[in-house]
Amino acid sequence: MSKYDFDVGIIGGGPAGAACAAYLARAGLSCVVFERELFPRAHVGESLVPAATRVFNELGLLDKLDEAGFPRKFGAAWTSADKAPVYAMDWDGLAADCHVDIRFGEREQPGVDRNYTFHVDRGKFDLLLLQHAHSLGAEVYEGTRVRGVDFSEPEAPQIRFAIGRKEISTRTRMVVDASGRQTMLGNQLRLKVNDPMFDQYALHTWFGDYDRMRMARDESQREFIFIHFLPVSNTWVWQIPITDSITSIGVVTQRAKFAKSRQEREQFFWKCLESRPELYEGCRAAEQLRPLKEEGDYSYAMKEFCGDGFAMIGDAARFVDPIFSSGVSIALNGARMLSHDLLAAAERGDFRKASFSSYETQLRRGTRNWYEFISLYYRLNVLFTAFVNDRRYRLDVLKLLQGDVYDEESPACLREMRRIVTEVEKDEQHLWHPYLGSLTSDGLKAAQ
Amino acid sequence: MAGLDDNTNEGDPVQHDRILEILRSYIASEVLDGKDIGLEPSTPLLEWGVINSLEIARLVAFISQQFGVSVPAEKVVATYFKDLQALTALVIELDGRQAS
Repeated sequence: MSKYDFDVGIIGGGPAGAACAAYLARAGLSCVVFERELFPRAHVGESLVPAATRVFNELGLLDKLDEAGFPRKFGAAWTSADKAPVYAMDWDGLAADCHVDIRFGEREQPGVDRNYTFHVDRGKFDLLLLQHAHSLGAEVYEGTRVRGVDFSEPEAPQIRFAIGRKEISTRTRMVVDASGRQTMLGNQLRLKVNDPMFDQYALHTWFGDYDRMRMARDESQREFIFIHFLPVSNTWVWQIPITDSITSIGVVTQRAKFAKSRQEREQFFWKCLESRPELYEGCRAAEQLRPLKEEGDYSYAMKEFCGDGFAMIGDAARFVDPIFSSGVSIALNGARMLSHDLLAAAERGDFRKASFSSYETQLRRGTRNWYEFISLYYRLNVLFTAFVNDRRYRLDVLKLLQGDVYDEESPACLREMRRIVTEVEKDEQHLWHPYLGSLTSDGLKAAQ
Repeated sequence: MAGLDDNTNEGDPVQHDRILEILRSYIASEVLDGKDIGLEPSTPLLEWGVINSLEIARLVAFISQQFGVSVPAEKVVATYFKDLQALTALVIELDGRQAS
């Protein structure tokens, strides 16, 4: 009898776990996925970026996604209320909203053969991915909660889980933690570090028959993701098409501003929307389809995200902030990079930490670039607008927005943004100085 | 360079007026949506709130695109953005410096 039940045991059947299982099963490794929920289940994180396409292509998923009818996402737009109604004379309302928008098709992306990605109902999407992994040969157990991993025999970690009242364990050569924000191994091994910078919370729900054209410039933006800035520091609203008639709306704000009780939260949500009247009226006229859901514990990092016999992917490894819809793409690309290392490790029969150094380097680089980009964005939002509108930088910024963040140690446009932010911070006369957000550059290094 | 001749210098009144006109018509059409408020070279753009922080970002991008000069961060201060006159002087100054 073999010493192992499976080559690889995966904790969590979301996009990270399912994609990892699909890559491994396809290459002939035996793997098992334990998912605590029964799919389909609702989940936050509904908008993708085009870097996900590479993974869909390699796993043969693109046709299925197109057939499933997920809205195609061709681009993104940002709107903001004009904070200063300082128009003297009678010029009020001359420039109420400033738009920035970008289309993915403006830049060719290596390994990506189309100018759109998708917005997804995560219930449907995650089920589709997990079924795909199963069809490629992965064993999948839903409704099975993993209790922990026993590393006492380093060469054969055992995953402990419960069936009814009975605790069972399965022996693997390697464990992949894809447990999402539950961060199973991060907690167990005490590797988790909370990020003091992005202490953000979100409140979100779905609306039926919300009129997406209210905030769009023209028909081509109907299925864009919209990021609406509120005239409250570091607070914004996402608007994501889920189907023709359903739109996901979420408010993201700092924990300090976030109300304690459920009832207050309801009020807080609507009060936030009220600061953008068109948005507020649009939501009031629509039908709220689900109760408000909240997401807390927003940002954290891990001291290590791989070690002897284990690795973490997706949200289980790192979570920053959802502003650029990066979550699912990082999960899928993480699964892709880790699978690459893992297959080589299986070949050599060596699952020690050094086997995953390529994954570690790329993920660290990618998340560091994301982190820097997001930090700069919150620190001086107008600079993002300036860079997107400046042809010298537009495509470099688009590259980041497309999710291509893994190949450069320090992209030039981020260095330039950083330089300007530092200038603006030093110079009180600078016209953007009053617009500096409450995230300071001193804090940016905190959780890297 | 789209807007300037090769031998631009501060003393050239024709060049000066051309730049001024390009900037004026940009602000009139793109910022004020064509609404005629009688924009003069000395109309206080910041004080009157004609341009806000976002408009400044777009204006900086426009200047770089139109005149091929980049506005360094330290120049984005009221001295250079207070009115069309000052903005024109800024473009001429940057052009003289960045051409050499």
